[in-house]
Amino acid sequence: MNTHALSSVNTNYFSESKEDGSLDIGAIYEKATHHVLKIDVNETLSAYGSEANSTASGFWLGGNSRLIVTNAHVAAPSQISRMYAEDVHGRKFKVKLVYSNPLIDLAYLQPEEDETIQQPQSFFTFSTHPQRNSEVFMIGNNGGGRHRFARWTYQ
Amino acid sequence: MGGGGIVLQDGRISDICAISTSNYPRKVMTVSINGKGGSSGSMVVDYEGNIIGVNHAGSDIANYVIPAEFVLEDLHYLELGQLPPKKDIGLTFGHIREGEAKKFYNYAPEEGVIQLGTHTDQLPGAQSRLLRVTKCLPGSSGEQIFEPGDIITHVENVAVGQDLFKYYHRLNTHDGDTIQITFFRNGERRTETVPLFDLNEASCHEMIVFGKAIFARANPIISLLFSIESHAYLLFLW
Repeated sequence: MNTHALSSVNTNYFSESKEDGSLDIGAIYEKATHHVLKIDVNETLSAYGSEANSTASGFWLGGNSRLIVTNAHVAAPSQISRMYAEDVHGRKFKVKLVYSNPLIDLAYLQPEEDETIQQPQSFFTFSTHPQRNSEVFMIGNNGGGRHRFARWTYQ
Repeated sequence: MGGGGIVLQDGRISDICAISTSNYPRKVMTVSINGKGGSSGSMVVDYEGNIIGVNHAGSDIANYVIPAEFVLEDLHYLELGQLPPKKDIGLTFGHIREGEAKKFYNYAPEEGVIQLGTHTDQLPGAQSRLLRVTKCLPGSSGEQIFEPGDIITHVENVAVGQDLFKYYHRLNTHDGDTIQITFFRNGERRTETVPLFDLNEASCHEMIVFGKAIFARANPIISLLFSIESHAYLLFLW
């Protein structure tokens, strides 16, 4: 399994590893709560100023990066006017687009300069060799409800 | 968190090297997760706590996930304060299985030039597939050389197998204005030198500003992304 750390900042978040090296699902969720963000986008739909709002997910990379990852189709429509991120504590802050690649559908955001929001110092490693049929988790702001698992209830 | 909340859903990876068919073809993983509205941009994490990708799109039964290797490649450039390159030659791809390629396209791996086994060893479960050209974008450098049905095997003598990331990675990290592409057509192995273009330098042209609107003529790839005719005008509002 190849993993890649984004920075040298270390963390002991995953102290609940099981004997086989896998992690407790609660630990994964708990760590993710510090990283996952709701992304709110206001779009200008016409030259006369009518607007539409949409909501999606994103996540802090953490460490020293101060970058937020989301999709290009979320963060980079041509007629975007305002964009906000909101964390699990309800802290909402204005973000700006740093870079987007619609060919891959990835975009990177940063808080606006005057925002004082603190990003998590923990970070996730990346794996570029996932295995077919292996179990994975998708963690984001989807479908409503607060702090819940789709299959289990997490209090 | 507003009206939503953090949701964790579990699923299994059914394909680690698929190609999504929405507008521009992208390498994606297919995951059996029921992604609800708002899940675009969600992190996808394995059981060891590593991010394996970013949710891209989905349905009630499966989601497409952008593999983490694309994020890492972007970050490599962004951390250096550079724009990640978007080099291209104007081809779109689908997968074809090796058996079908032999049967319908006279594909001849017995020549020994294709190291499929090596590639699938590196990607267990990726299956024996190849990259087949589905479209040559009008006005692109690839249009002059390739035809739909061509099977791309190597970029600069490196086997790309069925992996679109490997293909684009070779294009993006290549120094120079041209690149060597090896492909099969009608049982014949060919290698051609193809001019590269960088989409960062040529996203739109012929821009006209009119009040709060900008009109810009789209290049072939932008046209494909937005499902409009090549060289049509795009309207941006600000």
